[in-house]
Amino acid sequence: MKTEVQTSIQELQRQFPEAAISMRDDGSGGAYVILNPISIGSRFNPTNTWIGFHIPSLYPYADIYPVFIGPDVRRTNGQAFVAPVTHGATFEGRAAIQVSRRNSAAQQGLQKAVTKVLKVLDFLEKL
Amino acid sequence: MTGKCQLRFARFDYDRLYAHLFPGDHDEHGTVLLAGIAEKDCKTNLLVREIHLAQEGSDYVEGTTGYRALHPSFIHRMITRARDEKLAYLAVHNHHSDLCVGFSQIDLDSHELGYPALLQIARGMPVGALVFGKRSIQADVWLKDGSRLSLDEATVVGQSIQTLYPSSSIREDVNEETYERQLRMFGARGQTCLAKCHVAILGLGGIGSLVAEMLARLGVGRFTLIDDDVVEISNLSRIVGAGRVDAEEATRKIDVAERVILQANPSAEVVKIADDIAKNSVARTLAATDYLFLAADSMRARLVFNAVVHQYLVPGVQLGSKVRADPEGQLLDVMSANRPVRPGSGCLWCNGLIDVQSLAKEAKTDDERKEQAYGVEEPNPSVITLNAISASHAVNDFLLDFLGLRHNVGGVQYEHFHHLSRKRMLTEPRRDENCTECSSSQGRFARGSGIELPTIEG
Repeated sequence: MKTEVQTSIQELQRQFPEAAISMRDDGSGGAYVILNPISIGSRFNPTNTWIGFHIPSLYPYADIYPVFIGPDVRRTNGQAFVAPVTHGATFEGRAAIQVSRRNSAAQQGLQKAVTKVLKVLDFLEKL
Repeated sequence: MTGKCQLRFARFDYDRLYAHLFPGDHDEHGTVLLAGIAEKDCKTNLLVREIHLAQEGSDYVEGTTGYRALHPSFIHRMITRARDEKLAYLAVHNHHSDLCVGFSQIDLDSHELGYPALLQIARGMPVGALVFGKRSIQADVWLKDGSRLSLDEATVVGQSIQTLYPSSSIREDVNEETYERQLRMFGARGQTCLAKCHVAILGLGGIGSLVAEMLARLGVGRFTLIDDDVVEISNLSRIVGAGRVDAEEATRKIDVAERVILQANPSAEVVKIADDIAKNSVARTLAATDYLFLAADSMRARLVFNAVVHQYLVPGVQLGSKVRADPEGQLLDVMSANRPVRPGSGCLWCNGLIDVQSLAKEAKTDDERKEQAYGVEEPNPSVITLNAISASHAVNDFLLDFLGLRHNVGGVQYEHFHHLSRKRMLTEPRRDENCTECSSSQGRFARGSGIELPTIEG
């Protein structure tokens, strides 16, 4: 695993100290990472889920995209998810909901895994 | 002296140094250069990263044995910085000779006196001296193993490429009959430079195969070809030298290119790499080349190419063609691109030409791409005439710039041909002073082997 990827996982652990981190080497320097549990707020049921993603070997140049959360997450207001949040995905062999949040054109510089997770959580909170 | 070294400058650094050494006063001036280090053809390649101009009277003072000398406190500041930054230390002064220059006995005596101690302070980094004539450079570089290196050649990399030697005695050895018509344009000296030149072609598809043939027919002597793909029937409309049998037998594209090259120039040396350019072991091979042609269409190839240009000061060009159509198939734009990339002139990263989402996508397996609804993309349109525009302009620029055949060429410009409107657009790349990839004040610039390239493992 490349140093930049290892460092990003350490940063995730610091940012989300309550979450256990599991990871799998992707064979070319990157890693598949799952944080569990992560709070996604009272607008969802359950309020905690896991969040998973692939940190590519070309990180921090490459984006972290897409991000996955647990398959049982629902909105408490009963509204169904619509794209870019879609059911029926899998991540690391487990069923998942895929959250396809791309960076904006203004965020095309070096990437940060922690920032990406926080942005996805912020997106879900405002959904 | 026990060996040879090479030296590379970015054009803007060389111009700044030259103006300091030769301000028109016919006097002697001094400077210290700090340089990254790489190996090239079993020679030490010194890549100038920092220029510290010695101020007259304080940093560059009257000498005790020679005419002038760097002040000890200036030397100390520079050698400790070289040690801390893991860069080579090179003290520079000038003579007023022109095409031939060398150290005086006083110069060499001062090296014998001072450099053993500087080597100890530098903790393993090379230390040495350069002496500049107006169009010549000589070196005396000391290595930790006790060997000393003189200069083989120095290269100044801007849009135009300038090569300087200790003396101008290049041996001209050309096949006059084969190259008779082009010798009339650039002479035996130019032909000899082409024969010595080592180019890398990244991607041997529609554009890269054309580049390979043109360079071989010009007489370029050394090729590194990188492509892990094989010929398919749908390639036959574009790949030079490929036939139906190549598609049926899935011949590697690099093998087709080698065949074409050797047909044109039987004495050419060809190294073939059937692997992913993004792998670290493959990308490292580019450091030893003189010019890069990027004719692959992946973002990871762009990222690696861009890094090699700035980390190893190797000039390069990114080539491409693109066709855009609306959903009904009406053509919106048909273009060819020729984007030279040079140290100090902006880069593909800070010009937004390396897409971070595409990098993420390219890191996925085929199954992941399907599962994550990237979909199965239709291949992009590709037409030999569009490829040929890009290839011929890029190779023509290489010829004129590598041989120094045009002067006052100005700064680097991207060249875009929009064929529907018959327009040729020239765009000066933007330069981000804080760009991690190309800024001379940031991490990658001229670091050579001292830092990692942005590659995948393998």
